[in-house]
This record gives sequence, C-alpha cells and structure tokens, in this order.
Amino acid sequence: MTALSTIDVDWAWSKFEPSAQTPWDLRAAGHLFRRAGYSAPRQQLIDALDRTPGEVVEEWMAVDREDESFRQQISDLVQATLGTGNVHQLSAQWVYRMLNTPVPLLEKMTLFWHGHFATSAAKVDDAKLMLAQNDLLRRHALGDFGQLLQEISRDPAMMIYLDSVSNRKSHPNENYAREIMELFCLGEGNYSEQDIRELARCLTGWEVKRKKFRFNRYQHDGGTKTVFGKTGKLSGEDGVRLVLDQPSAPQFIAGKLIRFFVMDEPEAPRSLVDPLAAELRENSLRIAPTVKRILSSNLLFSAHAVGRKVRSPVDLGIGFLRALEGSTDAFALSESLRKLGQGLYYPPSVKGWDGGRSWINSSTLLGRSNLVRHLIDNPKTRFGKKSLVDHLHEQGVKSTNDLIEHFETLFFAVPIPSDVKDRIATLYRSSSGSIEERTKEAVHVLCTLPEFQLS
Amino acid sequence: MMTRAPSAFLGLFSLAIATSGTAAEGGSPAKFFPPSTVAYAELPNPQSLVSTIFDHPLRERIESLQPYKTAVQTPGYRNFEVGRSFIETHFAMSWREAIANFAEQGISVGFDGATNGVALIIRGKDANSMELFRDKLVDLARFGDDSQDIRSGEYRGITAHQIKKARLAIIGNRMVVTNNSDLGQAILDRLIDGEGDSLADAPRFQAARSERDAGLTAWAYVDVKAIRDSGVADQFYQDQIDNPVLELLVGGIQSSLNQTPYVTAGFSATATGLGLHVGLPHQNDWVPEHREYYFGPAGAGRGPALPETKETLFTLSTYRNFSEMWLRSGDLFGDQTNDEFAKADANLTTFFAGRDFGEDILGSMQPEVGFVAVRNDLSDQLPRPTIKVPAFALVMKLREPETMTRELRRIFQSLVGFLNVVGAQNGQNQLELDMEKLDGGVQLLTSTFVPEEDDRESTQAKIIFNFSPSIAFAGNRFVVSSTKSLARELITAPQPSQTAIQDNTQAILRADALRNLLHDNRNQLIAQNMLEDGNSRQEAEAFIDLLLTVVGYFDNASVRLGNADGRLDVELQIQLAP
Repeated sequence: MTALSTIDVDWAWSKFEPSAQTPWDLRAAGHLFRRAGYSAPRQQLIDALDRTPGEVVEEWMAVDREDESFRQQISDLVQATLGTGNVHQLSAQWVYRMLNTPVPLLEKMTLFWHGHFATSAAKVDDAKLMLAQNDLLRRHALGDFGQLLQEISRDPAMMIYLDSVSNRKSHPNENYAREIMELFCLGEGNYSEQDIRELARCLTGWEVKRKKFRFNRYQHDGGTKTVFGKTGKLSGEDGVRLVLDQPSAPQFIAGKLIRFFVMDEPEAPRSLVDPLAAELRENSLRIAPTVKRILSSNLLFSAHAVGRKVRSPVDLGIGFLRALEGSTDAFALSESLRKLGQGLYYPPSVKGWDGGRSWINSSTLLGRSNLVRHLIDNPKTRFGKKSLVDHLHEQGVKSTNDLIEHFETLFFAVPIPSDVKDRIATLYRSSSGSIEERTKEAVHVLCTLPEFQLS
Repeated sequence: MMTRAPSAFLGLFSLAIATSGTAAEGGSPAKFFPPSTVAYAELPNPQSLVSTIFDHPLRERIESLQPYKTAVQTPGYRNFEVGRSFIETHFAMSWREAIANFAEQGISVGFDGATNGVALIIRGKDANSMELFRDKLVDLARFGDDSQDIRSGEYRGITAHQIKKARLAIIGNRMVVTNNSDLGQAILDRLIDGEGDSLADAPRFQAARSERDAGLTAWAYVDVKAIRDSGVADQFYQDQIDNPVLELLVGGIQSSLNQTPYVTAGFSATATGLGLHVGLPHQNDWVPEHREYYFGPAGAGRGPALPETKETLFTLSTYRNFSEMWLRSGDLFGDQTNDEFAKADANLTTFFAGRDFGEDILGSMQPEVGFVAVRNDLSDQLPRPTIKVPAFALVMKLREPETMTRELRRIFQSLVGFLNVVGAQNGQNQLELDMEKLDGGVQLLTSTFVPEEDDRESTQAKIIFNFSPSIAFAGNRFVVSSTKSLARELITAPQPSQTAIQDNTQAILRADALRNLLHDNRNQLIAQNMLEDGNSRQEAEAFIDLLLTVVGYFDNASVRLGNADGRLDVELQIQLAP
C-alpha cells in the first residue's frame, strides 16, 4: 500500500473506478453505505450494484431532506418530546429518527455537526433549545458552512453552553471567540490571542433572553476592532465572516470531513486536504460538493479507507438494526449509546467526541458486546417485524455458513479469518438450545469479533 | 397439624380408577376433604363460566378488531392452536365439549395442612365420561416423555394411576387428582364410605359456608386461624407493616387478619361484569388503639359523600385520621421509617410557615377525606398543554373553620410566593395569585401560571399549564385542587343529601372519562409507543386505538372496604359498558 504522504492526490480524489483488485461488489457497496450512513440491508446493497458508485452517491446528494410523510411523523414525535420537557427523551427521539430515516447521509452529517459544534444538554438542560439546534444542524448539514457558522453563533443552546449568554462590552467573554477559531473553524496555530480578544469584542451585546437570541446594542462594543488584520467598527457578524474568510477555514473543515468519512488515522497530509479545501472555497463553503467528492473517490474505496475507522457506538447500534431491518426500544438504545460514550445530545466536551481508537477500551469492549446482546434479547426488538431467525431465513440464511457470509457482507470491512469462521460454525453446531438461541449466540459472537469493531 | 412445605403445591398429578359403586352422590365436595384442609375452593359450574366469557357479545367485538386478527396470525398463537387441535383430536371433542363432559358438575380443590397435599375433585357428566377422560390422559402421558413414569396400583379395590408425582383415581363420576398419597387415600375413604370427619363438619368452615351468597361463580375459604396457629406466616402476622402507604391502604385489615378465624372469597362473572368479594369476621376491639386512625372510634369511621362533578375520572372517599396516624407514627413504624417521618415533619413544618404539620395542618382537617379526579377540559384554554393531565382535588372539612380559613389562606399565599421565588431562580413560569368571593360565603383562592409572551396562544404548551393550584372554602368545607375550575365546581356544587357513605372506603374509576383522557393524549401515547416499542406510526396508532376501544367496553371499576355487623368486606367490581 502506498504511504498516504506519497499518494497520487489526483487519483485519490478522482471518481472511483472499480477494478479487479477493488471491484464494485456487495462488500464495496456495504463499505459505501457504512461511511455515508449506516450498514444497510442486503437487498439495498444488491440494488446499489445496478448503478455505478458515482450514481449511488449522486442519488443521495440529490436528497437533502426527508419526505413529507416522514417529516410529519418526526414532527409529531418532536411535539410529544417537547410536551414532556424531558431532555433525555430527545436522545430516544433522535435514535428513532436515525433508525427510520430514508436519508441516512443527512443524519450522518447532522451527527457530524453535532460532534463538531458540540453542545451538551447536561448544561443547557432545555429540550426546546437543544432540539432547535439539532434542526439547525440538519437544515445546513449539507449546505452553506458560512451560514451554519453565523447561525450557530447566535444559537441560544450554543450560547448557553459556551457562556456567551450575556457578553457585555465591559467584560467581553472570550470563550466563544476562542472556540470558533480553535475548534469550529480554523484549528490551533491559525489565530492569535489578539484575534480572540478582538473577536470577543465584536460579539459583545449578543445575549440570550427568554431562550432567544437578542442583540443588546447598549452592551455592544461599538469601537474600532482589528480581527485578522481587518480594522473597523466590526459587528459580531463581521467578526464571524472574517474568521470564515481565513484560508485555514476550508483546510480545517476538509480535514475533519476526511477524518470523518475516510480514516481515523493517520491524519491526512496537507497535500491530500488542499484539493478539497480549494473546492470548498470555490463552492463558497458549500458542504455537499465536497462530501460528494469524498464519497465518490478512489481514496474512499482504497486500502487507506476500508477498515480504517473504528465503529462508533452509533454506527454499531443503529447500523446493526438498520442492516437487519430492525426496530427496538429507542429509550433503551439511546441509554446504551450514552453508556458507550456517545450519548446523543450529550457530547463529553466542547471538543466533541474524539472518535477513532478512543471508542475502544476494556470497559467499552464489554459494553459493545452487551449492547448487541441486549438488542437481540430485547423482546421489543424485531427484525423486519419478525424474530431474528425468521428474518434471517427470509434473507436466505439457511445454514451457519450462510449466517456468517450474510453478516460478513453486511457488517465486516475486513474478512473474517477462516479459522474464526470454523470456530463459530462449530460453536453453533455443538450448542444446545433452540435454533433461535443458537442463532442469537452466533450473531453475538460475530459482533464481538475484533474485525467487527472496524468500519 | 400443618407442616411447612409450600412446595407441596407444586406438581399436579394423574391417576385413575374406575368403579361402579360409590357411597357418595351429591352434596358439597367439602365433605370429601379432611377437616385439616386449610384452603378450599369450588367452581360449581365451569361450563357457565366458560359460556359467560366465550359467548359474551364483547368477544365478537374484540374478534372483529384488526389487532386481534393480526395477533391470531402470529407464530406463537398458531403454535398454540396446533397444540389445542392436537389435544382436541385426541379427545375427539372440542375443548368446550370436554369441559361440559368432564367437569359438568363442578371442580373443587383443597390444600391439606396435615399432609401438605393438594387435591382436586372433578365431577363429570357420568362415570363413562370420566373413564374416557382418564384413559385419554394416560394415553397423552404415554405419548409424551412420561411413559416411563406411569404406574398403577390399587387401594381398597380401586385401581389408581401415578404419573410422576401425580396420582389420579376415578370413583363414579368423580375424578380425584392429588400430589399426596395420604391425602388421596383420605379423600377416597370418604368417597367410598360416605362418612368420616370432613371439612364440611369443621365449625369454622360451617360458619363461613352459612354466609355464602347464592349464585356465585366460584367460592373459596381459607382457615386463617389454622394458618396463624401453625406459624407458617409469622412475618405476615406481625402487627407492624413499616410502609406508610401500605399501612394507609391495609393497616386495619392487617389487624383484623391477626384475629379473624377465616376468610372467604366469592367470585362472580356475569354478562354485565366481574365481581370479587372477600369477607372475614371482624370485631372493632381487634384493632389496636394506635390503628384507630383507620376505622375511627368504635370502627364507625365512614368516608364522606362527594358532590357530583362533570367528566369524573376517579373518586376516592375514605375515613383516615391522617393527623392521628402522623402523630402515632412512632407506634406504627420502625426506626428507619420514623427517621424519615421526622425529616418530613421538619421540612413540612417549614413549608407550612412554621405550623406543625401533624398537629396544626393535618389536625385541622376532619378525618373524612375525598379525592376527586376529573378530565381536564382544556379545549377553550390557551396556552393549551401538549400532555393533558386530569384535574384532581382533595375535599375535606375543617374542624375550626373560623380560625383555619384565615390560616390556610395565608399559608396558600405564602406557598405561592415561595414557589414563585424558587421558580424565578430556575427560569420557571410565575404564578399569578387571585381571590374571588362568591355567594354563600364561598371563597376561592387561585393561582395561574403566567405564560411567556410567545406562548400565550400556544396549543403545545408545557405540562404546567394543566395546573392552576387553588383552594376554596365554604363554611367548614375545604377544597385543595390542581385547577381553579375543579375547585370552583366542587365548592359550589350542591352538597349530597347524605353526609357519609356506608363504607370506610370506596373508590370508583370510570371508563368513559378514562377513555376521553386517553383520547386527549392520543398523539402523546402514539409517540411514546413508537419510541418504546420501535413501532411505526401506523402500528402505534393501531395499538393505541385498540387500547381506546377496549377501555370503551368497560363502564367502571370500583373497590369498597366496609366494616359492619361483625364483618369486614372488601369488594371489587368491574362493570362492562351496556
């Protein structure tokens, strides 16, 4: 495998051309579905093979919102959630949405922005505000990053989370100004302390009153400020715009998108990021074209990407169910995700989730195993409205080998070693208990393999 | 003497004897059980019970529901049907015909304290039917895994079968099934000889039997004294429950069970509903002084008659002297519970502006207490909450209305102020206090949540907009309500002609209001079902609509606790909609 630092960048970002070595087959389709959304049912993978990978991605990119009927269903759920005022119910509601969305890429991107503009309900403690922010992230998930940044800067949940609820000219709060540069837009080393102080002055007068953004002109510092070398009586919007204008902004976002979609590590070299950053800038920071390019690229289907990400808890739980057409108790699943470190609406800090290897440790490994076990044992979990065995039977799974092959296609980025397959087959045959119990046991074992933890 | 082995209840039996001559025909099956029987139940006409349930018009309505049709298509139900068909084919008759033949004249069951055995006597149509029944049962056992365990023996010329631990014999048109040989022999002796001391001769059983109502579907008797004397449930018979809620619910009954000789239960199932009546002899002096709060002095405490309200969901009328219970908590509960009482007392005393909670607050009320819950009609109200909660109120009488009205009014004002201060610190909506004086000396103190400017017209408001905490006074009548409309309705409603009901406690849940309440929250319930069960919107709607439909088949459910004429009665009723 060519080292990432010496990779042919033009080839990397060119449209994926299937070859004998990297064919467009069920395994490749499974990989694309996992990266662009979640693991998908076998039939969806088979259907995808009728088109080129580029056409599949093109179709996904054409849909930037769910259909009316699904949105109405979710709207009803949202109203019910707000009626309870229970912030924890929000997580369950989002789990339900992820499990049932007809547009997985949109949810995946919403989750990406949730981790990027991390805001925790543990501090905000207001279901309505958290939901409003989530809607904002979804609305702009594949849209204009500049507009998203402007709006998130005035988002009450974000302002509460980063203590900018009352940013007065006499005591400018530098918290948000620092995070917008370090974590949201530019990355370390691309700004000075002076820029932070001056941007904080621009943002003075931005307050949250009665859970809404309010500009208090009396608390706004109307004096002259200098941000990134630009001087004037800059407003908050001007300050955010100046941040967006920095050359490092598209670099930073493109780098994060590569890490999210392509590989956890190593960090993509500058040479690989530059073309995407240039494309972002050319498209006025519109996200969709860059995401499309990543998902259609040779790099995504290369050895640099396949199996080079660790399954996040969300990918694990939601992907497991979606691939098996499953439904379950969304409250229980959201609680399990929280225990595994990816509580929806509850990112651990303003830095969001570290992801990658941090998903795996001795405690979470056991937790991930338990999550699968709980899912298959929970009487509320159904697969295609049926039991696991009936569903698998309907999918043509008639033997242990079929079962292993089926799961390998749906979930495994790297092949399962043959001796492991043999051991699972032996275990299945030698186990006592009903077919249902033995199948569950075999599924559980498959989902605890080290190979399963990779995406 | 009864020995401790509740496991003797486990495992039923099979054994059959056919004989043409029997000494016992007719009469109560109790005469075949030994006098040491401590629990006995009989179902005189199983056919009638089956017919009441399965021929009820409600069955047809339930079967016409789509969710029912879906349910009978599930693999689990299909498996059950296959099993049932197999057994019906084996017996060459439907299961209903089987009950009509093999249990035509009743089923009785008893637990014998002397042997720790359980026995069942099934009385069928005739001897031939019972022989057939036995043969088919033995065949079934041979067909299964029990073929190695089938044995036969003889007792006084009667052949018996044993399958594993179960023994089965037939005598005339009766089948005796037991898990204990000694008990089986004792019953067979009485069946063959037609004599011998029996449960039917026991004085306590005779006393219980004489009080039995006619027309019951099933009747049961428990010899409480024998159980108590045996010491098998000493913990149950301790005088202390050590749980305040349980104490309030069953404290008085517990005292009675510590002394009463027996308990009977009668169950009735008719086309109009189900009823369960549990009765026991009771004397007022069995209730210790520290539990006087429960039944009142001389056991004369009665729940108050409550005024009529619209869309009533639930009413509870009871006699409980809460003040006395609070102050006697040291006698009623253990140390740990009393520590909690002490903490609660200190907090509540602060909450009630320094007035002693047990003495001054609870003590200012008479022990006749009513609780009313009604559907909260929010159709004309804005902001309107997404989740609709029923309005509820406590209806009481003050001991000294002249002084307490003013005190309670002031406490209410302080409370509202306190809640506003705490609410303001947490960004909660504020309460607006108001007072009205109506005709007849009626005073109404209300508090209403003030919506945010943007929420004034909301139809999806927060749950708190279900509430407008209020109190009302009229003479010695005092109402504490979750809404001002219910407070107004209760305090201005015409008072019932009787001041008290006949019972210590009576509770009624009305299905029509429950159905309306569920319907008000239909969207919420659907959403909850989607999230909890992973259902699609369509599936969740079907489930919730089924729930609403099923609730619509009922009229009300009630429970009453009465003590009069040396008896304590607990009665549960479920009435179907006409």
